[in-house]
Amino acid sequence: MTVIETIQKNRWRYLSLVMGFFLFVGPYAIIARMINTATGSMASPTLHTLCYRMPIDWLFGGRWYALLGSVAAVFILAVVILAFFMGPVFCGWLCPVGSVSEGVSRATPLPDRFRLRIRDPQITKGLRYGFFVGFIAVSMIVGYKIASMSSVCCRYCTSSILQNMANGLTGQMSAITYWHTGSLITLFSWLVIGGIFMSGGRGWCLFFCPLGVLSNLSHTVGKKLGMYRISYNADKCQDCTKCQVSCPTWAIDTDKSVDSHLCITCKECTNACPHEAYEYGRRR
Amino acid sequence: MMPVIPGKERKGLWAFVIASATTPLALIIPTSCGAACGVCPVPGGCFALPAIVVLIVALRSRLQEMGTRILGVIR
Repeated sequence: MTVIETIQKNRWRYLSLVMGFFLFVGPYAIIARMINTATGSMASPTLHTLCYRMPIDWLFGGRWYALLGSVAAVFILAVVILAFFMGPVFCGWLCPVGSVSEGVSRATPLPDRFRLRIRDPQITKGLRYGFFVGFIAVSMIVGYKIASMSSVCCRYCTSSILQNMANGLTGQMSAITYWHTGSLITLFSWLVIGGIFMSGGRGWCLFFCPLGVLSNLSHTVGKKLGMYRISYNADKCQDCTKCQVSCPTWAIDTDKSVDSHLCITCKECTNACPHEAYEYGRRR
Repeated sequence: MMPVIPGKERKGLWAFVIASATTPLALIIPTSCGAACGVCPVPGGCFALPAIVVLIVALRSRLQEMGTRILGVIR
């Protein structure tokens, strides 16, 4: 399938991802503006209004009181509930952090043989949940004051980087003073290692995003209860492997089954398969 | 009798154990040395390393293959 064909077949998702940037990232941050207007808040509308990480840190760190009245906590709950019924559509169709790394990866003319891809979903899953458990462990260490330290939640935050890059594009000086070694390393691992040098450009989403892990856990439960998911029909499959090549999250196993712990319901496989072996829908 | 974990699951379990063991270390090291407050010349620099090392170990065979190809192109 040529690049033009891929864009044509997935045009609605790519448009949705562009829209996601304007919905969540300041200075546009349309959703944050709507929330600020509704709540009468004078806060600057940015990606931080709907932080992906802090509420998860509060939850596992025993700071439940911080969750009360938190717009970001409501947002995370909504994303997880949506993933239960429809699959992780936020990750696949709206997330600005994932869309930027995926876009950078797709726009870089690097042959696939120079990109990394873990073919065994068991290893990808193991690394993904392992990093998540580590994130929870640190939240607990910080939250329950097992060791004396400040929160580590924002130390490697790609949302902060994306917001500051957007600030830089609109000429805000804070975008220059923000940068430090930690953020540069995060930028490198997000867009270069996780983006350009990983097939599909979703390396950061796969290994470091706690919201992505929660969404996929919710999706896995929803799938078992018959909610929307990508299903595979072995009778129609002709073993062309186009599905595996097109999947940005390496969710398709060697037997072509879709792993719900990794799938972001982007529907790249359903559009890439010439034999219609993949289908998105409800099924028991 | 010890439960036998099949090959594929065993690999996944190892990946999980290694990643879960290194991430807290990766996050705690910079906190204890006071990174992100400006004292350290490489604030946050050390915390990303164990996570990157885990990825490199997990993908080492693919990296070797890529390195061979890149060298082939250069030569």
